[in-house]
Amino acid sequence: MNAERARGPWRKLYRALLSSEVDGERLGQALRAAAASQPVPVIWLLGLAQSGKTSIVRALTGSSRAEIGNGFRPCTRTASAYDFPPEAPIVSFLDTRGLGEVDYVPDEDLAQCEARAHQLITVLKITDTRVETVREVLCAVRRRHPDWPVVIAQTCLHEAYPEDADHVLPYPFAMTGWESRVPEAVRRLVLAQREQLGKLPGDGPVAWVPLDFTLPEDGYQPADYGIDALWSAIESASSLGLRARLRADPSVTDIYSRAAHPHVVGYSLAAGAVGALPVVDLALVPALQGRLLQLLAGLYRLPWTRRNASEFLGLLGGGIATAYSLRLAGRSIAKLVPGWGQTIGAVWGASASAATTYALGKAACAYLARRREGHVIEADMLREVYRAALARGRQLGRPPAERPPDGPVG
Amino acid sequence: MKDLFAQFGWWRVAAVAIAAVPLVLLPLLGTVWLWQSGQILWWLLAVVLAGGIGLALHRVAVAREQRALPEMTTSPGAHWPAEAERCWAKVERLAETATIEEWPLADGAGLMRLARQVLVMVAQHFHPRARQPLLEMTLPHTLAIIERAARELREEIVYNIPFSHRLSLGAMTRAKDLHDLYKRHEGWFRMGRAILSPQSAVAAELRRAVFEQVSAHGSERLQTWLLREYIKKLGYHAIDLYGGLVRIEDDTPLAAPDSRSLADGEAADGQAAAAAAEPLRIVLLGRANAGKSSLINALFGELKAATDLLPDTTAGITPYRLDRDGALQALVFDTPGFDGAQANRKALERATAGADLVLWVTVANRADRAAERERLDEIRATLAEDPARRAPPLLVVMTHIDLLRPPREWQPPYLLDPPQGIKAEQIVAALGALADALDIDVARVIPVCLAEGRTYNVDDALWAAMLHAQPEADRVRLLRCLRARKRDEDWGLLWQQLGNAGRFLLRRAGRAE
Repeated sequence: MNAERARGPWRKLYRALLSSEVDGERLGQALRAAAASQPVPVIWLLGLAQSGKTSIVRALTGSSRAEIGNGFRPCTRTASAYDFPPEAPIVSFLDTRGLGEVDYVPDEDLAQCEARAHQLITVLKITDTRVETVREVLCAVRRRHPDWPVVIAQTCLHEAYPEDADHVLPYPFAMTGWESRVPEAVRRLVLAQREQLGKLPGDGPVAWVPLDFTLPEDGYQPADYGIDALWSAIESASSLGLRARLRADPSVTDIYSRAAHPHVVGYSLAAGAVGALPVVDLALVPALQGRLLQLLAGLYRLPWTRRNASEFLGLLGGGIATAYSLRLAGRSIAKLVPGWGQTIGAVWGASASAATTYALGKAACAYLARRREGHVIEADMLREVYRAALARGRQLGRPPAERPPDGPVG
Repeated sequence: MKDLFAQFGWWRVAAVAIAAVPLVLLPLLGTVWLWQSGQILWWLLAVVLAGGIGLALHRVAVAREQRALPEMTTSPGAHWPAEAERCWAKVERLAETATIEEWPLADGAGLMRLARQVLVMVAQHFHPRARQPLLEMTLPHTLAIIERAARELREEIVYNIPFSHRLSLGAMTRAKDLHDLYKRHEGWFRMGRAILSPQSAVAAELRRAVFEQVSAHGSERLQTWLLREYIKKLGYHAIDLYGGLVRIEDDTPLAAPDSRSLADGEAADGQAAAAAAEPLRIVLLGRANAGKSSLINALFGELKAATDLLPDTTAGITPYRLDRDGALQALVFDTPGFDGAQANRKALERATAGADLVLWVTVANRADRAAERERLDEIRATLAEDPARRAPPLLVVMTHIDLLRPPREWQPPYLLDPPQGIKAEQIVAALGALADALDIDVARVIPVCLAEGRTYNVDDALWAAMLHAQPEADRVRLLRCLRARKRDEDWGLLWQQLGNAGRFLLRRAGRAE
């Protein structure tokens, strides 16, 4: 049968899919190697305790696991990092949580963050009318890195709303003349805060984004008011391509595949990093892929069985299977060629591993989604998804995007 | 019988006996008459009844006095700092152990010795290194102590002991002597009476039971109480004077308004109110935009202070006069935020030093309290530096509780113990976090809402807390008044001396001309 035949090239992957647990040691080795060769971009959230930093992490990643402080109690003692997704991170958030709290000395934390960060998001609560603490740190950072772009989020807009008022829709702050569209208190606070922070040293761009990320039960619609404005600010401030990494195409409305996207990207990047290593165990990449597919199955609550694993791989078809093994093998062969072979092999390996992982992940998402809804799965459709994803996946495998000019060394 | 003659002499005994004959005969004749008219039984019944009622009333009187006497005792001064209270404990110990056997009240020289002992003890407490502690005190001071103790003791006795204005210590002692004499010879009297008149002997026996108790109570208990009050009064005034807590010629009441408060009061309402007592000075402190001016408006129930959502609305320290149904007379000081552009550190420190009650206003929905804690610790340290001053009580007012989660819900009242609903839980959690961060007892944190149209917990919880803190604040106020007046007195004396010197110089100059 088709599936039986197809299993040949997929052998390692098939085994990885069905084993109750992926070879933990090997997987850990792969992820560590990936992390070492390709550090994830770091977003530094600078703001006072309880100014809404965690809400921003939550809104950017779409993860609900980020612990949301309740608006008053400090959550950690010192700066803390939040890797997303936790296993194969594509982005890391750094939080100097204790800023402004009793018994907190920020110097060390700030030095740490400054050394690691690729992108700085400053968070100011709209009702905070004294911004000296944040301003001091911000000025110190900009004096050392005059061209770092700064995104300043003005959070908790609803605290300045008149009684029972809702968010102004559509989001007005990007329009000209927004001043007349928002409640008076909001306008005055937003402008006063901007004026109070004043001119920062250096000439990097400064983007102000008023926003309000609430919990669904707080009763404000939408809960992530201003998220698009924040994304545009981040995208224009940095070349990290964060949005592509964190968010699936806007056309994808299925919440499962939106949640799956960062994981697919994370594992693809890890596979790319592993693939670029000069000497590499051939089984590492399939181990990563197997783990990714299992994770996706977990997200869709549809575990891999002998039957659907065979069906999925069979549907992808022989052509894809052969190309898959060739890609993996070709990289290894190229590396054996002396001289340029190493470099070519590394680039090929990186892009091939990342691309196949990305394509497999996306195809698995499509398969699992249809399967979940009980639709008949067409092989053509699945192959099309795979091919399209392969093209996008190649982009991911390229060497990491340049840092911001004068950016710190990771 | 012989010592009776020896004590009074034959003639006097005979005189008394002859003079008493008609009196002795009268009850006999009366008894005979009662017997003959057949009413002796009724009479005996009346005797028993009257005796019984008398005994019962006496019991009631004793019980009342026993309750009243311990209540009437001198207590430490409200304006005393801790040092004086430690000394007071010593005085009380001495008073508790004093007995009238050791210090008979009739012994004037003994009482003077006791007074000296108390004064030395107090003086030693305040001047531990002086070789002659009593010399630390001037003669007018010492006399003033004894005079005051005596005056107050007299007033207390007149108010509390029936017929005391007719009693002198000498009279009490003489009564006691007679009583002792009677005790020694009562056997004779009773036997004689029984022979002469058996009915009246019964009545006398009953009367004796009553009289015994009355006199026994009057002497022992009362005298002990007197002695102890005497020691305490001496101690009280000695502490007042040795501790430098009072002036010699003190005829204005202690709580008379301080000149500064008069000026502030004038600034508050534009008229020099003839305030009888120094008002409580309540100072509102906190960060910019915490809600200090809003709290003023909420406390007064009307728009008094300008408020805005941007900081630095309050330019200077502004007093407002508060008179709440006569229960609380105060000057409430609105201040600019200590981290604001308008903050004048020196002026804020002065206002805090002169405060009797500090209301620390802070926002519920933020966690960056490092600056607040730092400032609060500074204030605590400054106030603790001066042991002669009492630190004003501190209440923390937690504002903006309506902004806690869930932000769109506002349906007071919120029951906090135990918390009911998410909002109440959030308020309780915020209270705990705030108390932790500022290192203050959570019972001293009052959650309020000051938003327009949502004023909550100000008229009840905050007022209750302020009234609860009032006795403590009053002590601070009294001590503050005292210091202010001592300062005025010193200045007054200096001016007088300078004036005298000036006159002297003028005279010298005049003579030289």
